[in-house]
Amino acid sequence: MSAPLLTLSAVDKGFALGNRQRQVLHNISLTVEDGAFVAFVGASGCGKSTLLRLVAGLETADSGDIILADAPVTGPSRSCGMIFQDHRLLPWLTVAENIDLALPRREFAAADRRRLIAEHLELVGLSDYANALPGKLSGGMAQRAAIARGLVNRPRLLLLDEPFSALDSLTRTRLQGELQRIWAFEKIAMLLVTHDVEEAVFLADRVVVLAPNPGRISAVIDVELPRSRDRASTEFVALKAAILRQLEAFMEAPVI
Amino acid sequence: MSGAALAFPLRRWAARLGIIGLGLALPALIAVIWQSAAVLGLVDPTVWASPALVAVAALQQLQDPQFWSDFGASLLRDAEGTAIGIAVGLPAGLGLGLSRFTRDLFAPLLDAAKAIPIFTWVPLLSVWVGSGEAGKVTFIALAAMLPVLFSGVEGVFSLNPAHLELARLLRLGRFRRLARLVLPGAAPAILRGVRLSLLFGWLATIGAEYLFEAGGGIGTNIMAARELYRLDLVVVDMIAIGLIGILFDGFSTLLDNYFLRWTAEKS
Repeated sequence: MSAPLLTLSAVDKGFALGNRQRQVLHNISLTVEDGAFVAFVGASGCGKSTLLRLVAGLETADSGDIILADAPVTGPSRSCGMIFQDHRLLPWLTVAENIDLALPRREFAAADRRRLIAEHLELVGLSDYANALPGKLSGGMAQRAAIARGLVNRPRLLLLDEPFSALDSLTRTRLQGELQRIWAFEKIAMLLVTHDVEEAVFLADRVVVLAPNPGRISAVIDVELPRSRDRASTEFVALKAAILRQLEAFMEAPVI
Repeated sequence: MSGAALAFPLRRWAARLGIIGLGLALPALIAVIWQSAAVLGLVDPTVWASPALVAVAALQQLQDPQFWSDFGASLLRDAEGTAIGIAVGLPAGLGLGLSRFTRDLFAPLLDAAKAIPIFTWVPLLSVWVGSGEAGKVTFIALAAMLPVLFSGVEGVFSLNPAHLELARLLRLGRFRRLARLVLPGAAPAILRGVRLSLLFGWLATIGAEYLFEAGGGIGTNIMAARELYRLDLVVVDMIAIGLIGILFDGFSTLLDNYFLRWTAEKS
């Protein structure tokens, strides 16, 4: 059996908070197979975003190992793309130029870059907006452009940090459907961090429930419902309710 | 051609002319009051160079080759000094802004430099590079360098951290990072600095012609007019200086419109 795409073993991460050290993630161990879709849900403060940033190589773990595509993560790499909550398109570049930024000039010839950009614009349905500036796009379109940028250099793993949380619910539902289609088409692994349990159950093979303070894995739930999933089906609703109950157990008593 | 297609640019031009007319209304009003005061004998027209005298002097000046050669000398001097100042100040500012170490290292020195009036450099520059053309151009360069240097530091410092993180994630090379991210991101601040540099360079040009030895130029022209007690000529020169200032400002606006066109695209 081949090694998994991503392995986290006993990962710890803390940040200095004034002169105190605050533990953000504790003893995170996890494997992700090639092409899998894993979602992380948890209340704020459970370190979900930090977890993604560690895998992306934007932060360094205090201890433990992160192995991606048979190599320890020491910094951002070509194996891994990332989508943020904000689209992070550069406002002075067109959509096509923004996507082009993800293609290092040394690794891709000009003709290949043009072809890849056109393919990925089509994949996210923005072919007509190649030369538009980001200011002209709606929030949903901008996030599609960000997805195209995240995929264009053919990473093996795409990290999504609450990618749809700033969108209106109609656009969000639509983009969730799109993301599922893209995932099935591209056959790459995706790691999604979200507040939205429904989003997690709709998209993921596996939902990882994180407990807060410090962030640690509290449950791993396999979602075996057939795709494309019916959000109104009894199984879907039951699974969503079960995960929500898990999460509510960690919520502190409301402060009045 | 249909009427509607014509009406739009016509209306836009009318609006633009209206704005220019509004801007000219106040100087015109001042000229009218001033001239009335002179005609009514309320002020001495030779001491308070009346608009009519200034107009006559202006017509004389426009036909005087000496005026044009002075004007040309000032513009050339300004162009040399400002070009050098921006060419040195902008890369220096961007370079200083790129690292926290250099920023902290230079901050006290630059803050002090900001507070030192530019003309206090005259004695030093006169000794170091002479009080002839080289001294003047160096003085102008120094004046034009400072605004764009500060705005370069500020521009890099004000880059969006999320964009810098993106550059790290996408592993942008040094050149691409500079061309695609740093320069465009710092452009609003840089262009504010360039606008000031053009202005400061021009002010310093006239100042240099006063403060260094005479060598042609509008400043020299003004001093000569003062010797002759021709205040009308002084006012003509002042107006010419101001008009060049408006020209530079318009040029800066053109630069803004070109380099910052993405800021106008927000829907």
